[in-house]
Amino acid sequence: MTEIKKPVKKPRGKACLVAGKCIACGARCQSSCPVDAIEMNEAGEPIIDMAKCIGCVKCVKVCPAQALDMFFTPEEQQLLDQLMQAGAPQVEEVDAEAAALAARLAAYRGVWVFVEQTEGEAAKVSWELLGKGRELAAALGVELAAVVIGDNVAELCSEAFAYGADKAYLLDAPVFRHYRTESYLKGVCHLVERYRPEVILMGATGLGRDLAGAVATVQKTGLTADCTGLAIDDRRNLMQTRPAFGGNIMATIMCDKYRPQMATVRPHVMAMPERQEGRTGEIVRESCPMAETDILVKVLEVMSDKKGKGQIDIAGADFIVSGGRGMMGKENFAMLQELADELGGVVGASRSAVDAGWMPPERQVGQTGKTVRPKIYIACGISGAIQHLVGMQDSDTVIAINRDREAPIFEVASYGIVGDIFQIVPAMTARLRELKQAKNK
Amino acid sequence: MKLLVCIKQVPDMESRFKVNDGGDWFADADLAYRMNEYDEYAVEQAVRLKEQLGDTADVTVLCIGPDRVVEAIKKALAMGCDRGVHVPDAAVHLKDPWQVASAIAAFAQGKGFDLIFTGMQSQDRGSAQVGVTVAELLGYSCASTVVGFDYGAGAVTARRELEGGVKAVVRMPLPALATCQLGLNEPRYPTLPNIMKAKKKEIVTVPMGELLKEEPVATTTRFYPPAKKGGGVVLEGDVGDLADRLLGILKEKTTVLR
Repeated sequence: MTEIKKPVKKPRGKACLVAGKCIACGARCQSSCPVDAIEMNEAGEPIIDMAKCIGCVKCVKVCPAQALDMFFTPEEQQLLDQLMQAGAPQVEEVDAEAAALAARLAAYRGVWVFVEQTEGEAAKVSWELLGKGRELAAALGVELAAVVIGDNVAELCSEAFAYGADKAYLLDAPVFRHYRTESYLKGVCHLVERYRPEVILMGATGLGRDLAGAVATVQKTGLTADCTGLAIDDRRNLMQTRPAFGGNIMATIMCDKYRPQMATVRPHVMAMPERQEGRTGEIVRESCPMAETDILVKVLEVMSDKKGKGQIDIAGADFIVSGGRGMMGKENFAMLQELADELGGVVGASRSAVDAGWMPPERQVGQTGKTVRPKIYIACGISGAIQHLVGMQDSDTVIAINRDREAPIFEVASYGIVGDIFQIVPAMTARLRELKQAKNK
Repeated sequence: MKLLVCIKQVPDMESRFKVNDGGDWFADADLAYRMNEYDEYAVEQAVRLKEQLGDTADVTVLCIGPDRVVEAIKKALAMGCDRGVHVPDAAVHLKDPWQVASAIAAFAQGKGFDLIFTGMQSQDRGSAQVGVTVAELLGYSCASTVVGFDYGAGAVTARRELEGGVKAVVRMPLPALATCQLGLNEPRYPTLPNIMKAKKKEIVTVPMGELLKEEPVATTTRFYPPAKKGGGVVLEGDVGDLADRLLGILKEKTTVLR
């Protein structure tokens, strides 16, 4: 044992206002202050309570006009100079705040995927998320768990195992029969508080968006909606990438101070994982006591617009033949339908075709419509506005037919055909028919 | 009955967006702004409810943002809202949905709003979080992605859009919040007389500092244009020839023709 040197504490100083620089930005310094040492005067400039200031430099960092600076007393300045001369202290004071934060975050471990179900049938997006969740869990070195909530839904747990979950947390009670924000919120929060996952993924569906928003609010944590990319950085943070401005700009968002980190992902954005028959896992049955009478919102009925021969679900189709403004009129969509029929696919549309009344809104592909990921996407007379592209660019193969060689659709197309749709599409349909007839003979 | 509509002003989505020098938002030069499409449905629904209830209803429209957002408030007033609230904040784009919702909730707290309407999401950020978060913070019942709305006997009956063409009908007591989705209604165009009348309506300014006490929970770390996929093969030529080559591609890529 040699002598123990007590490191000289580096003075932290106090924040002070640099006269004439404040732009009255709207009290950013005040909201950043962890000890409420800043009050705003009538002109919107900060008044700093020196007795309260702990010199954390947060306000200085947040100020957009560099109007705040650290102020040291002459004694402190002298001490600083000495320290400088001593060759910059090696003991950069371990930031107590950062250590506390790290400890708080470390209490959360594991990746969860919320399994969305309607009347016992799981939404496919949940399985897609298990695929992505598997990757994230591997990167973090933790287990992947499914969260299954409903009434008589235990069999969904084994489904979840087949798609990659190691564990399933199950809340099975009549009160969870229909989705209601209140009951599901309580259920999920109950599980989160008990088992503390570091990442929760949900589908960006009507239900998922609703539930994720509520859970994030109650847990006071960050949520990023409609992510298109998820990855883990070197500090165990989830890097969440999502398009903004109708896909014109991508933003990467992190929630590095709060847990769990929550993200929603639209259906068909992530690839469907391979189903592994016979894969098993551990089911953790939980209960969350809740009486039906406690829930204010009642579900009166669940309606389905499915008419007769079944609703066309363009989001789930393997072949999509889509038409845009270049189709010139409603009647010309019959031509696309013929081609789609030959391929066993469905007809989609761009927003301009929907706005023109040529196709119903549920056929719309793009930012405000559906995100699709078919094997083959044939875009006919679609110029390819970015809002459309974000809805279909992950298709396996994109074939674009357009008269305008400069159309942006060609930038995402695997095969671009410059030509007249009114000649090419019927020609293709005819060839397909010939081929099939030849085969049937 | 007191109604609150929360609106946002967004850049026109047809604009060409570029990342700004700071790398945290888009460059806002030469952009045209308009009221967020989904918020127009919210305004329209609030005004319709006011027309249904008569003069007992009072509609407040709230917008956070720089001075230009007053234009959006004026449009809402011309559509029929009674009073406007502007929360000036030149840096609202740097705040996360949690902070924006906290500010709105702080404004609405204790003011006794019976119903709050918001858009389902904004066209620019599109996080679809502010509405539900406000409801949760205020302890209001909430229905999101609403495509049908009816009020009677002290309760709201709303049609919610779920996935795959499924809709749910929910009934919720007041106070409540609804986030409005495309298809709920057709927003009216402000008429000239109404635009003139709107000029006399009051717009109160509430400083952001009074409302926002929260730190962000999520931070944007990178902001960049999407990667361009390398363009594929471009085919040109005779129609018959093109059709043959397309068939070849389909044969190669799929099993339909085998």
